[in-house]
Amino acid sequence: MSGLHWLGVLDLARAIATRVVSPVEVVEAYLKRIEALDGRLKSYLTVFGDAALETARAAETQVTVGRVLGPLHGVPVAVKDLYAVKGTPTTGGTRFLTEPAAKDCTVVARLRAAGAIILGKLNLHEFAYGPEGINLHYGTSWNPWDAETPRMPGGSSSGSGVAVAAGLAPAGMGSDTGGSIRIPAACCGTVGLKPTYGRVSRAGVLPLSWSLDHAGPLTRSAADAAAILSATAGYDSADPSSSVLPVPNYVAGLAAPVKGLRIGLVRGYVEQADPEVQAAIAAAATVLEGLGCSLREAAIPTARYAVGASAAVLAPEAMAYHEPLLRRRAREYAPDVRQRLVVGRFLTATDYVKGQRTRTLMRDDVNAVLGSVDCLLAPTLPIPAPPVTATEVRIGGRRETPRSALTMFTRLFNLTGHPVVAVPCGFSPEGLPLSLQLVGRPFDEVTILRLAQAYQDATEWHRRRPPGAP
Amino acid sequence: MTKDTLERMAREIGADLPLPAEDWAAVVGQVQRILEAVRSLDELPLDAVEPAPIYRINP
Repeated sequence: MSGLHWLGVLDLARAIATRVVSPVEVVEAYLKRIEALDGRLKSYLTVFGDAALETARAAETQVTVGRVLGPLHGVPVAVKDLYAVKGTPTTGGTRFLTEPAAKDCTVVARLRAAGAIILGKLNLHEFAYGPEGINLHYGTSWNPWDAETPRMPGGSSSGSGVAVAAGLAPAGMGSDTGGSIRIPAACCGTVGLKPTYGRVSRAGVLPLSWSLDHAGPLTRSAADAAAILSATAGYDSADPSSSVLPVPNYVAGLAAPVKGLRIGLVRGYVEQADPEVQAAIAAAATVLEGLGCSLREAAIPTARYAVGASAAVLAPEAMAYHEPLLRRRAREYAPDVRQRLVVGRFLTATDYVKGQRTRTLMRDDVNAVLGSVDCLLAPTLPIPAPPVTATEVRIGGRRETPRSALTMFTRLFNLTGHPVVAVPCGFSPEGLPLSLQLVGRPFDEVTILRLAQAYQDATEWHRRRPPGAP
Repeated sequence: MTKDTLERMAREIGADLPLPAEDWAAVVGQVQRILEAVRSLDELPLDAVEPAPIYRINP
């Protein structure tokens, strides 16, 4: 069967369960494509070729005797190299973390329990501390939407975005502390889901900032993100932030109608974006209205303090985690990551508490807005993916650093913990993906995934294939 | 605080970290920007606002 690599998670699961295709064929197709393309794309740091094939053979035998282990039986999934996979190092995108993990992290264990096959470890901005997706040690993942100019893949889950966009994995797990699932999803034209804080266990995932980190998937469809979330969500005693709330059937929830949903358009974010992004959001709003949704303006007054609050919380937490490593290995870090970490020493305890108090205000602000609408709509990024070498970007007439631009609309929802899904919503004149984000009420991933899938069913953006990975 | 003073403070605060000398200019620049952003939080009405509990004794 040709084009296997473009089938999504749910389609693959169905094809495997009904024996249209075997898990071995699927894994072989991905391994062949990774070998052909990833020398240039650099989305993987480690490919579990033999192990994945061995698991695929076992999965094939089970299907042959009518035993399908779980909803993801035989489906390959790759994970950002922050996720512990038993027997392999969790490098964090560095060269000096070489100790093999003693056991799988909770997310990997749950994916395996659902029948998924772990295909490999994905590239990232070192230690997840960068929205640009640059990696000096292994090379930066190549954004496949520009075959000539190296563009930022977005970070920090850069490998996850590139692998999924280029058909090198049907799903890639990422992590999001200030936007690190949604930014690469937006840069690479994929779906990226940051679940509610506490919905998916962080146990065994290398932390950047304990109170801001979220684990979640990048996929090509919202339905596939729902399938991965169904397999990975739920209480975990090993994660102190983990929620005890029951896990709904996210895939079944996609079937409910979207007609009548009320959407709040975050005008303050739209107005800060490039004209081409503004036009794409306006067009998306028209599509959503055509689906029977109603749109109104929504304002989040405390959104403008997200930079300060995020810095006050993230910088000290990140430095607290890295301090022992920095004392021994500072010069082995990439300079940009090392410098950002050291800045955490300059925030006082009072600054940190001020940041945490501000989060309470912001959470209440967003909850208040979501009291009269079912979800919010905003751009994910103000611009399409800039060149990797950019030190400055222009947004309309304004100049910003790439880091500031890429996190402009994302970091608020790490502070508040609301679930957000990023979805492709168009292309720039240069052919670079544009993206919108849908923000839901706490633990209401069902609504935003349903709306995201309905939007994808009504549009064709996610069907386009990148020129750098035909 | 002048940039020189901030850089001197930075080197003292980071004395136990084996950082290359060339890091300090970048660190100082970032510190200035971040401290300004954090100072902006003083504009907010935080009087009656508690931080969300971080410590949890059980699930």
